[in-house]
Amino acid sequence: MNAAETSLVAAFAPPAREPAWLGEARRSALARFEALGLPTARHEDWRFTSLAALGALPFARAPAGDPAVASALLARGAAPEGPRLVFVNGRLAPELSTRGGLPQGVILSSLAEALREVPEKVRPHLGRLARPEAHAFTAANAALFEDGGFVLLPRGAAIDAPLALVFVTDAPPPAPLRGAEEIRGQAAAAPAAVHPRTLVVAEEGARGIVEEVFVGRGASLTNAVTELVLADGAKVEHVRLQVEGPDTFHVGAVHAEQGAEATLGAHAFSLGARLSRSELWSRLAGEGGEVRANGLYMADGARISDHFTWVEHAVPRCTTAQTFKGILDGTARGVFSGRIRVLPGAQKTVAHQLSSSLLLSDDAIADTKPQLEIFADDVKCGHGGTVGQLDEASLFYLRSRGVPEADAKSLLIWAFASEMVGLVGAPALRARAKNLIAARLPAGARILEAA
Amino acid sequence: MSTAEQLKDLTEQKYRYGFVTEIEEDRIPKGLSEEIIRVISEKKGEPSFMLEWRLKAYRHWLTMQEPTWANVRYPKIDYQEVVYYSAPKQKRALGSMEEVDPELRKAFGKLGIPLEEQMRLAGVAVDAVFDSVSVATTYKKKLADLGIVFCSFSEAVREHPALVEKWLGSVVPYTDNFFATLNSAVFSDGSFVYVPKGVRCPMELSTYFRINAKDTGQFERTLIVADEDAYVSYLEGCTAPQRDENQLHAAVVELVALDGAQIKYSTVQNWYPGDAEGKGGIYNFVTKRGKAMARSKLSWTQVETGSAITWKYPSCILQGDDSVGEFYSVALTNHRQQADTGTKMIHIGKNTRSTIISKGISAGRGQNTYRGLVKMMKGATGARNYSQCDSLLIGDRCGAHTFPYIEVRNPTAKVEHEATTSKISEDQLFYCKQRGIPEEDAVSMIVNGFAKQVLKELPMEFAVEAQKLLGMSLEGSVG
Repeated sequence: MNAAETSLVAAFAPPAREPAWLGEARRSALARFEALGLPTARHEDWRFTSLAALGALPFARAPAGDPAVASALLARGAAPEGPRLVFVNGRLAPELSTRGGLPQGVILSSLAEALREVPEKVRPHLGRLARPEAHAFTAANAALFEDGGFVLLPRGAAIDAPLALVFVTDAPPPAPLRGAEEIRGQAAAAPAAVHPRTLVVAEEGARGIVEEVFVGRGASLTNAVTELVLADGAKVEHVRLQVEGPDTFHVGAVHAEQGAEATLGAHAFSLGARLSRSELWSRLAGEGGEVRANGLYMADGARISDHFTWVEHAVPRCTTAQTFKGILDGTARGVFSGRIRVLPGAQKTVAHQLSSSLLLSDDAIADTKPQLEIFADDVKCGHGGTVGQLDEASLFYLRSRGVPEADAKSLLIWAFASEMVGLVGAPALRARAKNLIAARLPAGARILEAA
Repeated sequence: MSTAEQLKDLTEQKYRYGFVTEIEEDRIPKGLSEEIIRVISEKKGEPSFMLEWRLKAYRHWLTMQEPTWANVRYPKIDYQEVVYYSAPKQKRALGSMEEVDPELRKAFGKLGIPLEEQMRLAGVAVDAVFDSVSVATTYKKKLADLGIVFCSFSEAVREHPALVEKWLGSVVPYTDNFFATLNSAVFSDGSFVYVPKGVRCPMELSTYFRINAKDTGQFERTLIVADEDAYVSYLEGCTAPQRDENQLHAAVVELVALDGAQIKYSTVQNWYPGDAEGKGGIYNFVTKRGKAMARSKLSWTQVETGSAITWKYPSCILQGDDSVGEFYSVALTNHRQQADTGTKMIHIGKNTRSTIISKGISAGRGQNTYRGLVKMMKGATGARNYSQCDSLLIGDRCGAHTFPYIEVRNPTAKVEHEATTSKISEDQLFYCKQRGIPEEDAVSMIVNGFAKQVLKELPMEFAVEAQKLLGMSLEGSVG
């Protein structure tokens, strides 16, 4: 086992007051993690994303974070107003959270609270979709999670305000280059590992918006797992906003299951982290279900941003629409790997997948793997992928109108990226995503002003 | 007859070319060892460099593992149960077609490709490979006058050892992959073409492969070198007799197009696909790759209708600036056939261009996978790729899968990929039928229309055969 694996296994300490079934699940997940080990480049799903740098780090359980620091981090534009739960280093920070004004029956709580208060709502779903068997990170999360969010949208509930779960990591700064011996001698400064675990249950016909925000600083690993259970006719928009610090490894998996006529809009904005991996596993289990999965990633420097989707059509008359866009600069690497599986009998499936990458520098890398696996004949499926640089003609046009080159580039990138923002339904989330994207463009502030 | 019945009839059609020709054979014991390789090399009277190369490949092969990533399922192959060499016995050297074994000539007759007629009518020089050894080569003189070498691989090894030594393994090294390495160790025969500088080969060169002897793996090795500014079009076609046991075929084809040269390589593959239950049938594990130098062009066109398992990725390494790669493919799987096929376009040089047009047709319980790689390397400034992969599904028990890989290392490169999956449109069918076109003909028309973009790339000689093949398995396909 490498340093990361060893340290994660060593961090295993199930909370004392948990139900027995959960302790059992944790122990078996840990055994699974030990057996699997972290994936390597030989693993087909990880062939473009090397975890070598992560594997070399010994992670410690995250210390209690400083609420003042957390609140400063939140002030940088990512913090949602309205009902929100804030977790600092994996633990609920009540002083930063607000949860008033929710309609009757709607629950926004920490998972630990939910396990105490409404275990009958949690137990049937926790770990049902995110199976630890095949996935090392999911196994590690299942074994090691401390807390996370629990959202229950009861039958027929309709709530317009986004319910936010904010995960703040306040970790020690990365160790400067030192020998391995010294690192071991200074366990206190070891990078922190946090494993947020979230469960969202939308009962029949419920409608809501759930937002997960990841911010932080310092050297850390965020290994998040989210399960979304959509009963028949439920409509959920799930937005994942990842703006972690430049020394964070972020691995986040979203597992969804949809009943008949259920609609899921899943948006992933991956703007931060040193290595960002965002996964969406979705199973359309009831007729007439629809999943819209979108992603935008921006990476510069030597960062890696990897998006992975796996959508399974198990029944007839379901729809998938996916759009993923990447903007890559410096020596950054962007990876998109999406698979749509249409199982036997899933007739009248409509599935479309689009992946576009923009390369802004000579050394940026884009790897794209859109995949269709189809076992039914009466289907309409397609995918498209493009990789290229900014359009010369558009750039020339803008410059001929007197727009400086840097601004013209910013404008074109803005145009490319803002399509993804437009796909988000909730206006408040759109505005925040726009601000965060603009903050990453040289002329972003002026563009926002003009808009 | 109802549509469903027609569909059933047509998808259950038996392999029309299933027969066994009794011919005296020269065989060696089954199994694989250094001893066997020495025997093969000796039987073929090869120079020592060839034997050394085979042994190096064999030793490397022993360290390799059979790949499992392809989207195909088949029982494990016991490589010690395969006979690695079999050649029709020849009593003496043959001067003309008339001297060829009448049994053999009859076999070609049954396949509908009488050599004489082809020679006369089509102006095609036919290097007929019957199992592993070439027994008839025609039009040699005409080609020789232009300095073109077109002969069996064994002959090339004996008579043009310098050319073979220079180019063999230059595109597909003996260490390349499990099946190519196995081929390098035991390859039996194949074709060799060399077109000298500036020469345009005046006719389509073609070889008809047949797998004949029972339990005989066939390990073809083809090497085509087009020197600077040369042009050659090469046709490969296959059909094999009905069998109960699976037959292993691991061919290697290497193409070298030097500066300004053009190679067009067309294949129609119709090996025995197994019966309706998937029993028998050829395993086709092929490595095909070409290297294109500056301003040269490589074009692969394939119509794959046969084999139980197809594992084949004709590829282009676009090494020289301004070189062009093309891949046109129709792959059809019926009954329980499985195909995992596609291409790799590796763009290394500046302004290299590639086009991929792949049409997959799945019927019965067939599984059809397109797997392709487009790689733009760091130096591929201004490179361009366009890929289009369309799948047609006939019946609800088949599968069509698309696994493209796009890897871009240069911002000025442009890559576009599109894929669609659909069934035969009922509107189109209805339109044809109300115009008085029988359903079966209508389906055939629609399928041929679906594949037309690829079929039109085939040379005349093949276009007819390819359409016939598609029609045979696909008429009456109503989803």
